[in-house]
Amino acid sequence: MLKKEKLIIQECLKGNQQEFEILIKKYQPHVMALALNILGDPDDALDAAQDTFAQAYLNLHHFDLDRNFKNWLMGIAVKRSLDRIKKRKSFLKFFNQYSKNMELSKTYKSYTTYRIEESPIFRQCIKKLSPKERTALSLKINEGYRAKEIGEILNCSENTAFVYLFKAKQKIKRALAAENLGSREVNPCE
Amino acid sequence: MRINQIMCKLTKFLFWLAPIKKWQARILRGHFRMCDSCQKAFESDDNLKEVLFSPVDTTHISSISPEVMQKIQQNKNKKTLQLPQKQQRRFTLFTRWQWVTAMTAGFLLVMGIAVFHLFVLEKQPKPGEKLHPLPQPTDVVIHYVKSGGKHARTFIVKENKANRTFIWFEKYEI
Repeated sequence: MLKKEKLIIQECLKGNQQEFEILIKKYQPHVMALALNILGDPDDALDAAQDTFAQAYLNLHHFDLDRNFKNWLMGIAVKRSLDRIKKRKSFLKFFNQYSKNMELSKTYKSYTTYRIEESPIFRQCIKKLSPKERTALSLKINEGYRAKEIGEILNCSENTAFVYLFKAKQKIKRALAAENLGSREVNPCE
Repeated sequence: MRINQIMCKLTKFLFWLAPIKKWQARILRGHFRMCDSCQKAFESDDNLKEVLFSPVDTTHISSISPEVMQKIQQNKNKKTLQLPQKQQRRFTLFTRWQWVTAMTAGFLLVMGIAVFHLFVLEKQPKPGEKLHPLPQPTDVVIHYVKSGGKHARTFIVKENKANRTFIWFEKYEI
């Protein structure tokens, strides 16, 4: 970890909240991009990013200064984003059950059909990936993490992260080929 | 080239067939060591950057620090945003071999139920079902006699319901 970052965290631990803003400014784009890739909804991603930084600040005393702060922060961002998916799923389940018995307006009814995978801002190929596959791919492409680091962030083994990556890439390549946007080169393994 | 293609397809088939991610990863890694084209295809990120949101795409979003600070103030005394204490990941029978353990347990359960059905439940009479009549008890009397200086024995068998009596007489040597 950078010396400057270490000093900032030590200052934050002393209660200096203003120092934490430097870290927010530095990592906001990374956390936002990750949350957007997982959730596909800008509002949800913004909420998840805010929760991530708030949780990070409130738990800074648990953070091991010898570890990489970015990795730790990304781990929290992944958890918050996946939690949001779970919450939305359980809410939709409840809402669908409720709407069966009650007369609801059309706008509400259309909301019940909304799924993260159906988000309009996602491209067709991304919709086919599971949240964990999206996470692994985002960490690999945007942050350049290796399978081992992705495994640490996702709280799974290196092998599992490797398989998530492989499956994600396969699905995207297949979808891109279907969209006729993929590269024209033919890989004998495809 | 032809053999390479066959190997690639076989690897892909085995990959989808393998039930555990550890095996899947082992199959892939083993193949990547031999097949350069697959290795390159896996490592290359062509087209992938286009389909994902990158940090650059989010730079237009204004700073979220005021909202974060507000959330920190709100949750300072609450435990809603507290991280759970990280526990050391223990690799036990139930974490490392979850799939195999679950399959074995399921198989044993099914076998147990089948055995119970075949050998225990089958022998018990169902309601309304008549029991097989047990053989009626019979009276057997054996007499040891000495006739003309020689030993002999007599079996008198009387079936209780049949009104029949069998008498059997035979030589008996001591």
